[in-house]
Amino acid sequence: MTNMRRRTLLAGGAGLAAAAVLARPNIARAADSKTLEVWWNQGFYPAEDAAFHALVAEWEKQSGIKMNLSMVTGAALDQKVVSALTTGTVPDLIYSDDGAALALPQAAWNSKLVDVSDVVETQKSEYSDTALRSAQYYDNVAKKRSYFGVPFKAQALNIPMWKPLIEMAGYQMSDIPTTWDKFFAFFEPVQEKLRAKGQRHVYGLGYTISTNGADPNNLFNQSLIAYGGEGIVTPDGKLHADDAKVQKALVDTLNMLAIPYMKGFVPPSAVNWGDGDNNSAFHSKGVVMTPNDTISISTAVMDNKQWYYHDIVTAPMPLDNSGQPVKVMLSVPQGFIPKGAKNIDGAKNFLRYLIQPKNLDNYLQQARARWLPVMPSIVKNDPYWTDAQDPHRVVAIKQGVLGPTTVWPSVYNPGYAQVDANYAWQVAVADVIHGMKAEDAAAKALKQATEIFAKYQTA
Amino acid sequence: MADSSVAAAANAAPVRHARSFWRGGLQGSDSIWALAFLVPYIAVFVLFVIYPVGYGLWLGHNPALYVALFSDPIYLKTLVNTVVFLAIAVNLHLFLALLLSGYFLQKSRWVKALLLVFILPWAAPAIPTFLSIHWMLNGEWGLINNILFHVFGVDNGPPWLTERWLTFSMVMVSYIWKWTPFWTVILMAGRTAIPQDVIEAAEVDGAVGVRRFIYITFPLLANLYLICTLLSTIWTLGDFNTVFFISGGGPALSTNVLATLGIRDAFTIGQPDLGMAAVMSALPLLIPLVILLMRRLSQSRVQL
Repeated sequence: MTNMRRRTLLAGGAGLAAAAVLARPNIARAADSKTLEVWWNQGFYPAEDAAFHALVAEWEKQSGIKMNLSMVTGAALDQKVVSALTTGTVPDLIYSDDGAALALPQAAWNSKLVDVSDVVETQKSEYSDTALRSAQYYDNVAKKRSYFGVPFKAQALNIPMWKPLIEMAGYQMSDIPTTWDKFFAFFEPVQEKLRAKGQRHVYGLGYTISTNGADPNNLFNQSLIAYGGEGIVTPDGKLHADDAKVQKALVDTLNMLAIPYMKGFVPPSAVNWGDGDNNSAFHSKGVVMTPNDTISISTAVMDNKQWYYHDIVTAPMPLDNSGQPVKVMLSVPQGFIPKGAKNIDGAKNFLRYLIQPKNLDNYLQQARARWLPVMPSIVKNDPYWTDAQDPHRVVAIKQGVLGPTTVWPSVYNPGYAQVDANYAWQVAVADVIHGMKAEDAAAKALKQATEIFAKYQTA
Repeated sequence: MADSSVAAAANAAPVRHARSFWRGGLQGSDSIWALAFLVPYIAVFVLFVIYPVGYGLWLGHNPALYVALFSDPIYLKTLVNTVVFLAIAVNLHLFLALLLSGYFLQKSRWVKALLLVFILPWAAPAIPTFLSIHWMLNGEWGLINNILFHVFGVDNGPPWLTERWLTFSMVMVSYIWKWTPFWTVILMAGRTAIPQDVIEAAEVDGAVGVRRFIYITFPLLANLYLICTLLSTIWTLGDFNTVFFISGGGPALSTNVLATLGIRDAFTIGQPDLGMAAVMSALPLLIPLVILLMRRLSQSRVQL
């Protein structure tokens, strides 16, 4: 046998090792039509996960395909999704609660998603118009807009309130005004009167105005619409930073959120809240009300009959200041298939099964109806959804399924998703809190938005 | 004579073989064994060192990323925070550790019991403890402000987590609380390695108390102290947990450090290349630190 020099040995060893490392992903992800690798967002409570497991078990029985399911919590899943889409080592199907807020529009823009129009088409007549529009993203490589996500549930902002605290302050629920500014201003004297009665650390308004999670953007953008700023991004994907109406709406929104904070009607820590913190503050009766994007605050305490049926009242978003209904921004989470998935047919098979109205109805009900159906027929055909015995669900349904709704601007242009992800609006709120004029803070945030949109020019 | 040359030749053969081996030559099954031992190590090295670092460098190689980074006001704030964090928190906790390492070397039973309690913050898992601190610092419902109210009648306690520099101070305090015990133990080990006869000789010469610390203990610990400082600085540059779980980078993104900003840019904004650029912008500081550390470690002169 010939001599092997150390250099040769090291080179050979490195070559073998590198080959093993580089081959690993491909070996691990060998195509297999009988298994489906799925990453799914873990539920807010166990019932949500149990409902999904039951749905999957039934589908596996019918399809003969085995699902390798990874249930991952929201923030961790979002990181996995970004990593997967960047490296190309992807599962067959992904669903993330917050995916529609950033990952979906960006990935579609960069042509990293499989077109799922054929799946959506199977139930197109069932979907609400807003749900359908929410799934149509722009592919900047193919230069076309198409369905890159399959909508199957939705959420919209609503407002849980503590009835006993309002009554302790000497008011009746019927005293609450119905128009925007007056509605929120109502909770300021409520706080003052509660403080006078020894409720030392209760706050009237549970606004989340931090730079964490989804809640701050939900509240800001919904308020922007209430003040007439819906046209900030038009369906052609253009940002209208110079529109005087948009600018005024931004200033009004900044003032609406910053001024009560400066006056002490919002918990000081709200500038640092995560998504769960307003829920916690509400459950501990630290705030009289808090805008929240699902009815999770109520459904999480469903087992406490007194709280669920009597003490917590869910209100829809108020009318605008002229007394007209405000279009509710509908967040529509979607399942999506990344390019590079090994079992696209299997993923589509599951999605087609998931969005069959009967299956979807059953799944959402079993998950305690925290999420709204995206198909009006489900609500109309099943009395469960409009059962007046439930004080929270029916409010959310009337508002988010049967009432006027609109899509998020990030659907029109992923630049807006990045504006939200940068918390440009919340930094502007902080600027106002620290003494900047709302007009200047709005101009600064719009400048940042304009710079971001410059990277996302639609054809 | 002939016998002796045969014996010499017989002895020389294995010597040549040994030399050949150490010069890099392997024969027969030795090569296969060597490969078998080498490949797993290289595979792990390639997988967990070369590939991630190379991929990171590749992700962050575009100069335009750095233009975008430097035009971001959040990045500039973050840079300031990182420098302040390194300058204050690292030095303060090491200086505290230096002082405490002397205190905890006392032979009292109570001091030894106290040492056990003192080490707990370091031994406890970081994330739950930082989350606990986060809740304790909550301005309205947190433990600290409620104690201030009930004991001292302070109705509105300090805004621990809602004002930039106070929040950042709390981040540094939490970091110091977490890591001081570790470095205290390291420096205690250093102190115990100082030869007893040196100390006794110093005592004979009248160097006791502070004089002994200044003229004997600290000079002998100086090299170790410097290495600890370098190591701590390098680790702290990559510390994500403290900022993320105490302040979350807030309020208004004002308390990020490069490690948290990198994660934010990569995953919250969905731009892994920008996140990588943010982290890589620490390299001009990190590389000299590593070189300095290597030089200190490779010094031949023996010093504690």
